[in-house]
Amino acid sequence: MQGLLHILLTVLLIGFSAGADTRLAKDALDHPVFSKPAPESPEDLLVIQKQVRSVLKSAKEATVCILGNGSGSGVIVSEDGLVLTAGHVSGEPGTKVHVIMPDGTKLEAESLGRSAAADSGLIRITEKDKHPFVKIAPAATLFRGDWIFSIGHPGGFDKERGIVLRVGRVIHRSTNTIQSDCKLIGGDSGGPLFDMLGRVVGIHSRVSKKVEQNFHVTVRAFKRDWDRMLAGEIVTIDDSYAKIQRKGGFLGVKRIPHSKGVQITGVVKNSPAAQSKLRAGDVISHIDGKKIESLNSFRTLINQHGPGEKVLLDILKRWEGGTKQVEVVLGNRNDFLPARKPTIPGK
Amino acid sequence: MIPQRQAQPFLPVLVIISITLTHSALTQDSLDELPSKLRLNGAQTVQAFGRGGEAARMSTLAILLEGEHIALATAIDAKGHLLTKASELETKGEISAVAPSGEKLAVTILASDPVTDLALLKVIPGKATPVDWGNPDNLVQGSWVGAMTHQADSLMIGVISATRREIKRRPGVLGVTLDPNDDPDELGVAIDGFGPNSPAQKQGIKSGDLIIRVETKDIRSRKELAGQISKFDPMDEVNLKILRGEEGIAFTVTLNYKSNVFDMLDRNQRMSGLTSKRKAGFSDVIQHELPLSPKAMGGPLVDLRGKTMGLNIARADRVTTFALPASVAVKAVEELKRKAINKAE
Repeated sequence: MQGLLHILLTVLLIGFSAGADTRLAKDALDHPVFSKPAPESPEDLLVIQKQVRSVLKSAKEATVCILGNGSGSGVIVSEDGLVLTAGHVSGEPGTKVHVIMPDGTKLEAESLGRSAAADSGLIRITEKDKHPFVKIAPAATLFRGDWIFSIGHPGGFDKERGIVLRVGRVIHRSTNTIQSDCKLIGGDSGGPLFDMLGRVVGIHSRVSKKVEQNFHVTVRAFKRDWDRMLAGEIVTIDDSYAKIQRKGGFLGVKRIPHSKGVQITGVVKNSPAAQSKLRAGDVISHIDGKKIESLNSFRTLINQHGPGEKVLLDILKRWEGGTKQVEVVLGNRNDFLPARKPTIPGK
Repeated sequence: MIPQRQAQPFLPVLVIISITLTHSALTQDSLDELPSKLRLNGAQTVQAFGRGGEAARMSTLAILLEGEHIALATAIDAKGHLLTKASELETKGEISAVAPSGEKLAVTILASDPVTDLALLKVIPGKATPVDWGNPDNLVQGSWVGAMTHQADSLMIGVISATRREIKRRPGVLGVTLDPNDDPDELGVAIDGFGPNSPAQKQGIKSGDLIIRVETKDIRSRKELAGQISKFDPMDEVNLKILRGEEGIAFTVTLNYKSNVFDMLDRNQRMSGLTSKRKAGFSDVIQHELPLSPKAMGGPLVDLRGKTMGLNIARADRVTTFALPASVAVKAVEELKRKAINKAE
């Protein structure tokens, strides 16, 4: 029964991928091994090997080592240098990190947002160049039993060794997490998991006690939080995407934690924050008289108000000095973000 | 940077919650995990390896020390010669082998080579099929390979995972941590602690002791001490002069592998489970992903056609196993046979 189910799922997969990328999908996954419960012969295994080899080179070219707080991995998904990684690798938004290309070239980069719920994270290479990149798979195309491969920089960058490959299958997939039998270790975190077409389907996140059971963030989790992560936000376990979209008013500040609240690192053009003359460097200490303890409490306090509602902010002015109270009318997130909406490769 | 997931049983709960939140149309069936037999190292998948797997099985013997599995060995000719990993035989005791048929065999250790970490053994002829050596130059990243698990009873498969290369030597260690405030003008370096499995501590050296001499060299700084010790390999004996209070004491310490002493302090190694004590100092290795036990070293690494491309020589970490290329092993056999003859004479 399970075998049959698997065949059904795989057939579905081919159907889906064909819709997304007809020519490639049809040629590559037509071989019966991709619809069998398991390979049956050396020939079947060779088909998988050949398929991995056909996309491995471009997959490796876009895979990087990330040096920040420790060493992790990542994968470039746009020509201008946007990098998918794990949230625990990208760390605090706005952190300066370095990205090491496969040939050893070291590039400057900056962390954007991350999701504490899914362990997804974004980094942008700040040095302008045409960077090698790979496509992200459509969100609903990965199923239990699919063959996949994992690459990264386990234990850190090692030029002689190069990027390390592991092949395996999807053991389980949920909204945020893929479980696979691809082996992982420290340093792999943030590295890419690929499908047989060489598209990113996941990002390495955690290991279990079993060597052949490890966890990756789904691309679906990335796409759900994409705009917020790109804006440098930290998405927490508590805030569901829908809640924010429907309910929360929009202030328009990028921020980082500060001992007295949150410090503004950027202001969205024409946003309520910009109209109230909030500037990078200012610290927001209280909302409606309530002290801001963390980035999370900032968001929770803002989200208690919808678009059009007033909030009272206590501001420590960086440039003028002293404190100041400002009343701001929150806006509607969608009025400000669509113009900045990125093209998500592979979406 | 991968946090270890301790609370495994949480997963299904999380899955159910996330599905509820997103109103996903996933069915109950898809909550199930892929059955074990269909996974990369599941029984059904491994069967696809075909005659490659059969070749590995027929040429692999289990090596036992006092009845405990400690390594595998590779049958290399019809005369009963086997190769295994030398550093796994360092413990004293009776060594025996188990043939593919299950028959228990007596073993003679003929010679061992510290450079390749290979040992030449002999059992009665005709109990295992000699390997069919292949050309490891034909392997590429992603090539399928297979090898037997540590009791030589099942096959494990995976791919060549990284570039073939040299793994630099790791010298032996005393297993001490040193006082960082050494004075280069004063004789001696103070010991302020020990690694978890320290050979120096085992010999009776104590925290607070000053190491003043290694062999004939006076020691004035940590750098000098490291320089002298790093000339020696694991299992080498080193003569130390220790100053304890007013008293000068001579100690002979058998250096240990860094992995045996300090690995527990390394996060990636803790995550790896057991690894080989000697996993460095190889001039040429093939890297693959087979998650073999360190007790499964010494057996053949075969390709899909059943050709032996190398000999597994070290489990290095959770994602890494090293094999000596067939060409290196074949060359080492000549050297080992020469040594064995010299020893016999």
